[in-house]
Amino acid sequence: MPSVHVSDEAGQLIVVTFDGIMREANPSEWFVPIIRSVHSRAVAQGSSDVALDIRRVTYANAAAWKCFVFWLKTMREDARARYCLCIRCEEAHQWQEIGMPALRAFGGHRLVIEFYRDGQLVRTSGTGLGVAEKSGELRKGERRGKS
Amino acid sequence: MSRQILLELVIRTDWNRIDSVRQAVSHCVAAVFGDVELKDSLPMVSAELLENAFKYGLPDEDVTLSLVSDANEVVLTITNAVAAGSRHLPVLKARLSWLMQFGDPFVAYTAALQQVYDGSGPDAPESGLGLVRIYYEGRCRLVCDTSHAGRVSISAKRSRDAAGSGPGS
Repeated sequence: MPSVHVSDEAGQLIVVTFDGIMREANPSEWFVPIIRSVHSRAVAQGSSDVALDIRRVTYANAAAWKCFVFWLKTMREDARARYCLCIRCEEAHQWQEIGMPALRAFGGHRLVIEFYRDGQLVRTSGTGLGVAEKSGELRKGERRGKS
Repeated sequence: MSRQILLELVIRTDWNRIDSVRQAVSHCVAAVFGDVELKDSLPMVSAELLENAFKYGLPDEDVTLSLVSDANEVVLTITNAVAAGSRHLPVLKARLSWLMQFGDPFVAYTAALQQVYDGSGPDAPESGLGLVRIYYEGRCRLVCDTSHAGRVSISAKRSRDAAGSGPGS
């Protein structure tokens, strides 16, 4: 499994960061508990945004995709949840570049997909502002590309 | 040009070897074609097909991988042993038949994700999502061969149109 880091500062934007590859036969064994935990925390805090940073995940298998879908389902079917999920992707990873836009159908307006190149946000797929922009992670004056 | 063998591997059924094979395919494709997109997509194809072979094949039998190309296409084939009367074979064939209904790979992939969304959860078995991913993300046609008793071969065929320069280009 990839290394996982979940930001834990109360009241701050929740950022889940993966680094490595997702290739287990059942990634749900470790991924789903993370999803449930982060989701519960976002609900409890009344968070408006949660970020999932997979820019350093070089490969994920189909079983991992099911977990992404599960997160979107969890988010959308919980009436208490108000947050938008922002998935931060690396443009150079084809599995993200080609595959992630397909998730839009399941996240609706509550899924934002950001694509980065060399650490810079180059385009956003989704409605409204991306999490990076809301949280001030984009440098002042930095221009954002359009998808 | 005649069909050229680019890579042949015999692989022990061991989940931990899948990533090594994925990387081997990546290096092979990079060396032969120098194509960035193909270098990403065919390794994914190899990993997804190997996962299926390991999950649904006979665990004590080796799995073979071949990567060949000619002037028209690149073909990655995984062959594994299956038990007589395996219930997985009809499921596999049904999934491939379902997949071939879709002329647009993106529509197929979205439909498959919808099935996952509507299903019981991420642990639901045999979703066939990997096969659909090969069709969409890998831009490959899938062909199943069960003509040899006790063995099943799945070939992922990708047109050379997008395969970059390489032998026979």
